[in-house]
Amino acid sequence: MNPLWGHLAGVITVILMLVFIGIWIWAWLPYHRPTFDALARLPMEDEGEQTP
Amino acid sequence: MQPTYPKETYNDQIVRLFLLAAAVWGIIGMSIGVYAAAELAWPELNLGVPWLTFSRIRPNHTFGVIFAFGGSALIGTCYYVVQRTAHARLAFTALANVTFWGWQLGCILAMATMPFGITQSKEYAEPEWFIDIAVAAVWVSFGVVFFGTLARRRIRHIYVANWYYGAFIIAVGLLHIVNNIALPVSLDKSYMVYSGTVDAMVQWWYGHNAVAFFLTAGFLGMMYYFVPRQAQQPLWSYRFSIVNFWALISIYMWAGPHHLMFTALPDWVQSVGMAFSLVLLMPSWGSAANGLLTFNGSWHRLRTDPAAKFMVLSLVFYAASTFEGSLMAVKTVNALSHYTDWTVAHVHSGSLGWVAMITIGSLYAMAPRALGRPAMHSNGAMELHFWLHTVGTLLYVVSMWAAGVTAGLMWRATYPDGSLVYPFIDSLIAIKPLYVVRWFGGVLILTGMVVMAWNLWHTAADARARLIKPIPVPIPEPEPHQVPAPLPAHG
Amino acid sequence: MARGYKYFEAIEKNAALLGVLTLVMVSLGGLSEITPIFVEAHSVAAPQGVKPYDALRLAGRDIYVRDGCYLCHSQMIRSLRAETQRYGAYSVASESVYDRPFQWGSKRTGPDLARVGGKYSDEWQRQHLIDPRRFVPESNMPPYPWLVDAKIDGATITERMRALRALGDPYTDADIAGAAKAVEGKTEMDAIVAYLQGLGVLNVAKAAEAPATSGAPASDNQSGAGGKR
Repeated sequence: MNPLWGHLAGVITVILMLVFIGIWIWAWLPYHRPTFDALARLPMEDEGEQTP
Repeated sequence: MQPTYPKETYNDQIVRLFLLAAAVWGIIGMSIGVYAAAELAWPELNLGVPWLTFSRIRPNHTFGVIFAFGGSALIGTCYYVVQRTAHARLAFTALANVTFWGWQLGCILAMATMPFGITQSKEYAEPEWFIDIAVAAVWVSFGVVFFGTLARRRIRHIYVANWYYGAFIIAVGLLHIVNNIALPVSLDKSYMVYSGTVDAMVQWWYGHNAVAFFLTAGFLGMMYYFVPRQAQQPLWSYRFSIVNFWALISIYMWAGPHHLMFTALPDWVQSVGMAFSLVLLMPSWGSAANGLLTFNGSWHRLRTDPAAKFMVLSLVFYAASTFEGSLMAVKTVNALSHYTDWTVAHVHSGSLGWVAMITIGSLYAMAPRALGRPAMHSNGAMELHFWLHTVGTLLYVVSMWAAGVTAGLMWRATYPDGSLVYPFIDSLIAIKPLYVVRWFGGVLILTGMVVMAWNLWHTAADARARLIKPIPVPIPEPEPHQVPAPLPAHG
Repeated sequence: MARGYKYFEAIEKNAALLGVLTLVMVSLGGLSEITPIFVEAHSVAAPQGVKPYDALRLAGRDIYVRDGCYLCHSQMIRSLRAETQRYGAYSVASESVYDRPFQWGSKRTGPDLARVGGKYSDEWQRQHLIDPRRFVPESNMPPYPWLVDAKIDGATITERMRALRALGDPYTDADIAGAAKAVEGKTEMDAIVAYLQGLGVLNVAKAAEAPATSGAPASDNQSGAGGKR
């Protein structure tokens, strides 16, 4: 097994950890609060009675 | 003056078709399951007839309940949910109809060929090569319809349920195609491109992720729409579901090797599979918690609403079976559970507990709206179904736990001098009464499905009389100050 | 801070990007686990002593696959003390290198068959398949009477051998030419019994036999040519 595979695996693991932490931070940004609240209410809409 | 836009309505006709198919396949798949369970308890029931023998009809049970019943319910709810969360009619109506008739044809072809020995004998991928190709074509068109609908959505952000449905479509397509690559020898026979250990790895990469993406990600998509709807309040934490999504779909794919512990599969892969199966507990319980906590403040609904009861219990079973799964992936536990009925208990705690209950709950929540009725025909029938299903599931799972642990321990029991205590047949004799209990659990669950079919039949009275008027898509956006600005009306 | 993350935002709003990223995240697992084994299995020379199935045993194996025997029987002895004691040396990768598809199985309603070859007489296997309860009264195995009078078709077997050779199994022209004659007049029962009697006997690489019987199972069961310890 050529050692390159080991280095590659290590680099990918670090990248994946950073992406994971990045998603946490991104999801918890206050900037998203209004959008997420609007989205979370979507399933409650009772279509048909919607009066645009 | 209200601007007049071209009237657009939801395509609920396709949803009704899948709803009907799901109810029918549910009964067929589970009837075969009950018969197969009876054959294990009373082998005379095989009657020496090839297409009735256990080893020939068991794939019909798994295919009937996973792909026919589960598949129809998933595609039906997917079409229902994507239209409502995108405020757009389903794209390519003709292609959507192709997905319905194509899927039903694929299911019938599989169910009609496997009992006659036309099978690849790869677990949960038994249908032969020509059915695989047909199913792949239907699956790609299902993806085209789904992503086509998303592309013409009027709500800029994609609701998280569609993320799960999207991942379900993409992953199952990848798994199905890669695992079924074979060289046909004749219409009814083909040989796999992979062999031995490689085939084992590819098969259980597919096998576990058929469970992961078909029976979990797809149904989580269903859960993330119908649970908030049934609780009549938003998700406990929308942002938490985003983290769980990326974690679940990335980690699940690694967990396949826990089906091959202590086998001829190289050890490094077994260890990787075990490690990721343990990490998998986090995103699984993340979604379970998100769903259950959504009921905070509306637990009272459970007293009056059987659909909510089904959904809550399904989330409890989802948490229980995923915890059990991670536990069973630990090599020392797997040494006891592998090849025993404990695996069967885990499978049915996940399928009867989580999958069937969230499907039934969602069907009861969706059916009235899709069939143009204020509510299901009979609330009492839903209650009866709930208790039949719950008791049946518990009987099934607990009896198979007992059988699994008993056989596992008997296989490894040794005298002080190290010689084996029990011949193999003794373990079968010990657990045979439990096979009867399991069969009876199955009978209760099947009865519940028949009660559901009766209930849906009466709820669909209007649909049968073609009285349903399509539901208009709300155009333009109900919130004028939508951030960011909504897309212009389509067409 | 918020501005910096507007790229992430794109995922949430663009269906195609969401699809592509899902595909990427979803393929990481499969690529990392399947590719190394695939490369290794194909780089290693065929294990000596393990030959592809001869015509009759190939017919028997196809019957084993057709009738779904793997749903109650496993063909994989795990590297655990109680199993090697009950069933014999633990199974190594080279034994199933010509199995398309692999039949390791995932449930033991019945016992493991990985080394059942030679454990029972041909006649026992034959009568047991016809009526299992005659020998094991409490067994819940279904009877398989239709195997007795079904004949093996020589042309089909030849065709199948040619397909397997196309997939890489080292069949010689002589094997393929002789296939039809080898199964002439044989019934499905003869074929399945031949297949069962060869399990754990004919598919074991000679070198792998020695270390397997040396008691405590080694942790690393290397796939490919005779396990090097």
